[in-house]
Amino acid sequence: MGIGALTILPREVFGKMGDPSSKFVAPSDQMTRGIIGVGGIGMSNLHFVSDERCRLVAVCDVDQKHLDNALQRGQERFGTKLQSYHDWRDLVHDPNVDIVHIATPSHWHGLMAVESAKAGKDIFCEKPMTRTIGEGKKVVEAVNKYGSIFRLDTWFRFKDTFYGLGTTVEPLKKLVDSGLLGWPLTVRISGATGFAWKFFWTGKENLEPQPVPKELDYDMWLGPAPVKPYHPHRVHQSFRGYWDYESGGLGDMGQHYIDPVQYFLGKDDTFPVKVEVDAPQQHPDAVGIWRSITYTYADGCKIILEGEGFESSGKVPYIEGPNGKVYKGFECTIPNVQDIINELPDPEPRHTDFLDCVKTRQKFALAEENGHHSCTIVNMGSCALRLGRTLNFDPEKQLFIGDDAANLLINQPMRAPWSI
Amino acid sequence: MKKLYSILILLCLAFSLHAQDARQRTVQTIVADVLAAMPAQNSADFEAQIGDLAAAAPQSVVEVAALLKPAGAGVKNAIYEYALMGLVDYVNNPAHTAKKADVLKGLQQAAAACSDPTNKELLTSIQRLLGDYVAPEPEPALSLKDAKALLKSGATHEKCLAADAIMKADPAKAWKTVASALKSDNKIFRNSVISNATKIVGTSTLVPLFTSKFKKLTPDAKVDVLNWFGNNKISSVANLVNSAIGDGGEIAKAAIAAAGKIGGNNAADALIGQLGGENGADALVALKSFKGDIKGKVAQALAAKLAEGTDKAAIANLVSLAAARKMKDAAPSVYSMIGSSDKELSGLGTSLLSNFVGTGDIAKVGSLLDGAKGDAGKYSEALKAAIHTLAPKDQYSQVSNLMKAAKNPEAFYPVLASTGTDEAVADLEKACSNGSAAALEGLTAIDNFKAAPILLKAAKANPANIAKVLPRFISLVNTYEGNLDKKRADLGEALALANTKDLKVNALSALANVPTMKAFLLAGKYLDDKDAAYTAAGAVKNIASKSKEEINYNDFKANLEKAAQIFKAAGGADDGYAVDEINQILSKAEPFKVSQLTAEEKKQGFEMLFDGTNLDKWQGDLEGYIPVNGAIYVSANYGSTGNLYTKKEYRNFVYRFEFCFLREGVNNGVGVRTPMGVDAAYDGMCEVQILDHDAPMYANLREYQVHGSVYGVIPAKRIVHKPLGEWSTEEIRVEGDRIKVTVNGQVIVDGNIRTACKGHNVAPKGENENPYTVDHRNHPGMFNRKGFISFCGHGEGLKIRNVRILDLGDKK
Repeated sequence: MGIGALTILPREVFGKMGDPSSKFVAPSDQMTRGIIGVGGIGMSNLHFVSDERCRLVAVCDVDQKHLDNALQRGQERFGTKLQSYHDWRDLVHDPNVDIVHIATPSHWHGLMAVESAKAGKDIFCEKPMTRTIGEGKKVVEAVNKYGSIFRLDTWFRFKDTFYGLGTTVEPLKKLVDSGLLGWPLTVRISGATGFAWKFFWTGKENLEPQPVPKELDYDMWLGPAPVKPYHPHRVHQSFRGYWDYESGGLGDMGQHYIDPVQYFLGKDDTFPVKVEVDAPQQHPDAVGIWRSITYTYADGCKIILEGEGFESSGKVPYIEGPNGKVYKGFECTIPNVQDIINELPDPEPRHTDFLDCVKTRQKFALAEENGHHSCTIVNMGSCALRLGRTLNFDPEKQLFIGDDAANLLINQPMRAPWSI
Repeated sequence: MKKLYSILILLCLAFSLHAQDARQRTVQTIVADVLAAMPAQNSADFEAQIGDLAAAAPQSVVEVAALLKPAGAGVKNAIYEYALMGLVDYVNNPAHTAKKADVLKGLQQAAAACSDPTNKELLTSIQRLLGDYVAPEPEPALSLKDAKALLKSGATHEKCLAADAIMKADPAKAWKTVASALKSDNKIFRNSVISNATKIVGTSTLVPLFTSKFKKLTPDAKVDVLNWFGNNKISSVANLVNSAIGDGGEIAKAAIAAAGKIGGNNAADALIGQLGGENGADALVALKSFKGDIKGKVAQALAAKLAEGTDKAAIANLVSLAAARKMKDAAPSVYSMIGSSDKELSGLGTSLLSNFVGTGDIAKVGSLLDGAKGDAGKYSEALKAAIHTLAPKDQYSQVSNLMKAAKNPEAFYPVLASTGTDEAVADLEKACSNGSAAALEGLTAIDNFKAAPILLKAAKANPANIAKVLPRFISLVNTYEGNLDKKRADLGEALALANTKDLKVNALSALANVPTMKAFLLAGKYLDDKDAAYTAAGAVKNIASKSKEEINYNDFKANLEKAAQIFKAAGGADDGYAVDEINQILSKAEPFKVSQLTAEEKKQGFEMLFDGTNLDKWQGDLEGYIPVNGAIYVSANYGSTGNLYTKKEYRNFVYRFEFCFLREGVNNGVGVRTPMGVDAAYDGMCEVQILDHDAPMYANLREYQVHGSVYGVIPAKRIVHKPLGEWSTEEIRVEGDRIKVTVNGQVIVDGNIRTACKGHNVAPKGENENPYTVDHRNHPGMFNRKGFISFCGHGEGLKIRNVRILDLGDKK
């Protein structure tokens, strides 16, 4: 529970008087949404929307400029004055908000998601799901306990060709399920297979402290993160370069790239047992580049992230098994593979309409549990990078084996008075 | 005793230090050595460096920490931070815990001595990382009493929490909570309880409960339970689920979805039976993903429905299901549909035929195509599908044979194109030149880059063709490998012809993958184009980040800044990233200095021929020689065997320039008194060699070929070139027959061309072998009165800057 949680009455009391269990029904059954964080993705054309099914009613930011911007844009686009908040807890407890959309830097995601679940809200959370494995575990627990519907916002496991790969995930899933490639499989996520690790999301060392701009509540921006002297590169569009808030390009793109792999390998309910890194030593504060990160599952399947220096390493298979390889654009060493695939059943249908899930209470295609699993892969990688050594993972306990320092990174204490 | 103990410790310490550091360095030296190597570039270096530092803890820790300064302008603490954090990581490694206590001790001492709050916090916070891992306290469970109270009067999410606590407290009785939740009309609560109960007691306990209560449930609760059956693939309830399909409404939809997931023979029959009704679409989805072999059933059902001939909806769904999963068993039914007098059925059969054919159908489909009226497109798709498993040359011969026998060979062009063979390109080009529109259409479909020039010609010849052929031209150009500048040039052609937004976007998106300077400049031209600005911005960003060629700083900056503005205005999520990426790229770029004459050169009357900004005083291969960041850059991407000439002709002069080599073995030369378009070494007065003669590939060079030589006439004194990327100066002085070459201040040629060949620039008797020149060749241009000065290109990798000349007139 965050500090000084407000005692706002649950939204149900605004429903039928005297019957707290009857749900407040908005006009025309329209759902409502509030966005926390309207600097980057929260202000995007994709998310700063309001329609018949779901109305944007509230926004929250710790930067007054962002907030003013959002209010003005709300006025222009929807012709209404959005409710605005400085403190995200006020938005989470706003009885007029059904769905909390978390679009802050990721060091807040876990805390906000747990608090939203505790406030009885459904949750739309931007990737990466959480900054630590421990926070992810808490989100899964809270979402389950409080009966929330959770959606993690990356979508390549059910739609679109992902980045440079040139194919959707569906034929890959069918091919993997068919067993034609054999087992175990190795998947390479590399510049050579179309994926960019965006190493411009690295941090800067030797930062010279700067005065905090007056529109920014830096303390509230930091929240559970340690206090470090302010520098503009630490916040807003470049925060990803600092371990305190995220983990660079790995954090930014990792879940986009890894989540579909977890899906087609059928690993939504387990974790890799080992992570190995090849990277220069990492700075304690500023995220650096890395050359490769290799994950191994208990059955021998591997996911290899190829980073710096692999962009032009020629033709590299995306998926490689004992009996075949698949390259970019679904090029495959198995002859006429498309014909074989066509005869196989489609992957099991999934729920890919979040608002529909909110109504039917069915789990979204990428929800808390599978989302926590793919985010854990990302976070295992950042733990191994920060420590510069191979780590072994116990998928049952969700802890590293025999490495206390690594486990400290799984459950990092939050800056008082915040706790999850 | 106590004394003895400490002596022992000291001895041990001394011994261990000695053992660890074979080089017997002092702690200060170790610290200095390690800091110089921070950050370690790989784990072996990390182990070695930080291992040394850890061995010298605690003193090494104190020494490093003492170097931390309060953050501020120009303060660079990073290497100390790498070292300190490295120490923590090193001793936390289960393999190195022996020195943990010493590192901790050092950090404690250092923190106590540190007065800067930020650095103190660093030293304290990394100490905490040396502690043991303690699992976080689990959240205390809700007491049963509180849970019961909440379950009665809490808000929905509190009820969910309460129910979960109650079930966990006594899993054996969890079913009671589930049973009462099933009766609740609160959908959130009901689903939460069902989901959590599944985690607590497993599916096997819940199945009998759900089955026994199912009939009495509200329709909405039935939907939830059916969803649960499906998601958990409960095969024992297959009959219940299948029969719930008959309930209609939302229940039927949920039951259909569940039946699809659970599977089994009965489910397949039930779902196939639904294909004609109001839930046909749901049943179709379920069957497309249905596990197991349903080919026979579907083919049978389709045949039966066709025989009845009434249920068109069922027929349509059955045949599209069969098509989606390529059920060849249904092929006879599809052919019978095609032959049907019912237009709807024959149309459907025709449009889906391609899903049911193989090599055995080639003749049959070929004759359908030959006789097609309005359906040629569908039949050609079917014929493509029938041949597609053959090798391309066999595909071509099959189609070619069919065409020879066909009444209407034009109908086969799309299939011919699908073979992608060079023969097909040639056939279609021929037909196209005879005016066949169908052949041009075929060329737009062919997957063979040899079609590209034909398409471009067609687009240029007739603007009406642009919309049809240009997209394909662009995509073919995109497949070019190797020659980047050809790609850029062809995309330039496409952009010049592009007359719609889509075409511009299309061409610019392809251009984004051409990482050259010229592509960057071309894309930059579209930053002000209202249709294409956003795509151009993406291209500019992408090329700037990928290009290995240098790009002129001013263009680089101007275009990227413009692109950043465009991304800012667009305001999407990835646009923010794009702006950041651009800022990052720009922060690494540096402006160049414009070359200037020295005061002395000014006084003497030197003229600047190239100061870094433009080639206004030059002519010739202005494509191959490009001013980039203050230097003329000779790039392989633009061809590099062309010559660059001064605009003016000179006789006597002092010519000065700087050059550097970007790769081994660079070869160029300065042509003197040369006409344009000839080999200056023979048809000009001479060529003064520019050559990286140190490259191993030139091990067998003749002396008259080394750098500075008057090629083939006067050998130069051999110099050793500066390393790649470093600049050298050169001066060439030509007066009458005299020529003097000075490199980096050293005179390497000082001679007279006339005396060098004893006046015989051409062999006296007109023979080929000239006994008077060192290369035994004739040099007919040697005594030219006047001519241009040139750079004679023989490959990439040369940079030239600061080119200036002192014209000494024509007198001597």
